[in-house]
Amino acid sequence: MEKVKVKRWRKRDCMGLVYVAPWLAGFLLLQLYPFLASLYYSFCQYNVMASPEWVGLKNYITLFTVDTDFKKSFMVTLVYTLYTVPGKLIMSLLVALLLNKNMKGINLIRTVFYIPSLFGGSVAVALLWKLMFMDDGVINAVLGFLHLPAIQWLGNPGVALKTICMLEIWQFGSSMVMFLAALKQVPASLYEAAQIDGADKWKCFFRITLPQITPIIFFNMIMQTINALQAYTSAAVITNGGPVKATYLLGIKLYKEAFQNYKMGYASTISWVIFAVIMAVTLLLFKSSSGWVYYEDGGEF
Amino acid sequence: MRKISRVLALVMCVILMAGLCACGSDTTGTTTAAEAGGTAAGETSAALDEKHDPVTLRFMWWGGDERAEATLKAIEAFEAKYDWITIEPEYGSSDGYQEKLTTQLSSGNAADIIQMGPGWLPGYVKSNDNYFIDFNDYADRIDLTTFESSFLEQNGNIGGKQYGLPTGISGYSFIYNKTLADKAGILFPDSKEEMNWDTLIELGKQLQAYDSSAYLVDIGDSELAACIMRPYLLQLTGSTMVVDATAELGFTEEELVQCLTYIKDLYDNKVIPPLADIAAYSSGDSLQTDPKWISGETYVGMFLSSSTAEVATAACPDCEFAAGYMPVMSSAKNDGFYANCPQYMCVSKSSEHIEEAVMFLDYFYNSEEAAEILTTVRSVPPTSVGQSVCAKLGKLEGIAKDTVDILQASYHGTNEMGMTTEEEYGQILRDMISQIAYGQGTPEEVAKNGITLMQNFLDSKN
Repeated sequence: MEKVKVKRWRKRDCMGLVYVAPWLAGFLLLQLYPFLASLYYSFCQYNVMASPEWVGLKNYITLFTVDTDFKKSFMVTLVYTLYTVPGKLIMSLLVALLLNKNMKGINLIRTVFYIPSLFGGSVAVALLWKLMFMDDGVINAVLGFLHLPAIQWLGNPGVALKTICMLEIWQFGSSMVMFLAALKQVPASLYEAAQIDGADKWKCFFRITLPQITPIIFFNMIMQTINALQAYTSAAVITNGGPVKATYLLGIKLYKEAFQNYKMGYASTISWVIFAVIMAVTLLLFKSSSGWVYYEDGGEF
Repeated sequence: MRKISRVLALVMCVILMAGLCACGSDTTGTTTAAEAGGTAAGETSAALDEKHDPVTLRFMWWGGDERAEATLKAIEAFEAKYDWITIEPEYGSSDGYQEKLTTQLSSGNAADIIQMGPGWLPGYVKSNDNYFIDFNDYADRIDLTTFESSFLEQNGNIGGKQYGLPTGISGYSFIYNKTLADKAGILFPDSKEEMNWDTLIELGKQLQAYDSSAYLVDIGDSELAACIMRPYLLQLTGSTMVVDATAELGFTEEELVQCLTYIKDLYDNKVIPPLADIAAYSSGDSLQTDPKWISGETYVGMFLSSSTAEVATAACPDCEFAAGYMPVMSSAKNDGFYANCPQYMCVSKSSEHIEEAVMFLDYFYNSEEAAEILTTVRSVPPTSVGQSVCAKLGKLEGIAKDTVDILQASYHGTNEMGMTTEEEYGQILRDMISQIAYGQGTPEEVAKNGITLMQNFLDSKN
């Protein structure tokens, strides 16, 4: 019988582990542990001050059958996503097209358009937004100057969510930069060939530009959807979920349950439901991608 | 010289030990007030001359700039007196304060001295009765006799243990802009008996007839819950909104509908402004930052905690303000309104220097020097020392004192504390009110849904 040679661990192999140790420690402690702990807590009643108490599916049942706020919050988040994701994609693509032109001072203009995204998610910008859109804020002053009626941007439940969506859409910079890079990658020869065949600008855009940049559209769509489903800052700072919960995003509900009502178990349940929704939406988007995303290499790496 | 101070220290130590023995020999185990006061004074002078290891304490509070400045000055004065104690201040706005406090308490790194919301204390004590010290155990370090004993019993005392010391006397009150009221011919009743809930509506209508853009009361959802809904139900039922002992609601669905209908009437008759108008100012006691309040021409009155009365009236310097009476229904089973306190001071039981922390609070409450610095930054002082100093300085005049006087003289409702003061419960009340304010449902529908949510809350507590 032949002896199977077992490879001994050598010092060299251990060195690799040593090198990744800082990351590994961070991952295990700050990501994997909270991830698993929150899954456990989602089946517990846990108020931070006492130790968690196992209650089985009770949190999930309460969330879906008793808590009317959850349904409302879920719908608000859905509407928010449906507004901001397409809004941001269209806005950033338009600006990217504009910035793709060769004109004087284009680098400065590109920087200026990117600035809002540097402030992304910042409390200061959200506060500024709140001041601008108050009843006696600058936006209504401008409307008044143009002899238009003032709008209750923050106080009217039908408008408040849209005001917050506008802030999110305004922060289009990161998607724009990616679109800009993608636009630069489209081979000029395609446009030349199309021009010889007599295609106008619109045809060029819809038949050449759009199909060529679909991978980036797809990427931006996924990233923005994930962001939108987890949104918290702007709605929390500007309207604190009000008026009448018109801007009560799931992120705000999650925060309030956890840090104001001290129902950590219940909050974990909500976070796992958000996770499941994000997972499902992302999978659906991936499923659909084969139908509309064009890869030059046929999608094989 | 050195020898003399050593001898002095020795003498002081003997006195100190004698003092301790006096306390220890008390066979009943309870220290009388006079003894406690005497010992505290003796202790302090002894403590001053002893050699000490340096002690650092953390003191955490919320509040505006005025309060912060005065508190920092008081800390400085204390540190000058007790040079081995350093107090690190941790202060800011009330926004997120409770969240921070809870996290710190549960992880065991809370500040040594903590300013506490009265509504939060029962919840904390219920989850863990070892978070805070019982001040009665430290009667040799702090003189509690300067507080009125019944006031201490009602504020910060849970199950006979004094976990918190009230920082002042205040309560939900009503103030009005006399300048505007006179201009509009609005006469507020000058006794409790003449002021009922219908009076508010009648006066509101009268004001609307004078100026259709003016409102009688500037009020947001938080104050509607605290100053209309809670007192109204308390007067109607005679019971607190939640009976903590049985974890049951203290009112019926019909009674809640009646209360919500009244709030709807306030909106329908334009006695109070639409929530949308004040949405930007309604979070965190900031109604007085509304330009319409500052101009003094839109809103006549405001319901507020008397501890914010000074700030609210200072916002409109050209107007004359007066304290008014709060409404009580004719068949009221309870006054609904009451004097309590805006905050407590607590000392964390996990503190390594509990004695020094208590010593600081003794200085904070009982020293004339501190009283002169702190005056009324935490409303009318609760101790006899604080009150007499403030009276001498002429600080016990003005709108805050007027509101407290009215409360103490005429309103003796039940101080609601416990489950109903928890954040989640308060949120349900505010949500019901905003649904009424925005016309999203009839009082019947809103009440039904609200009761389901409250019941769900109570069930989750069992």
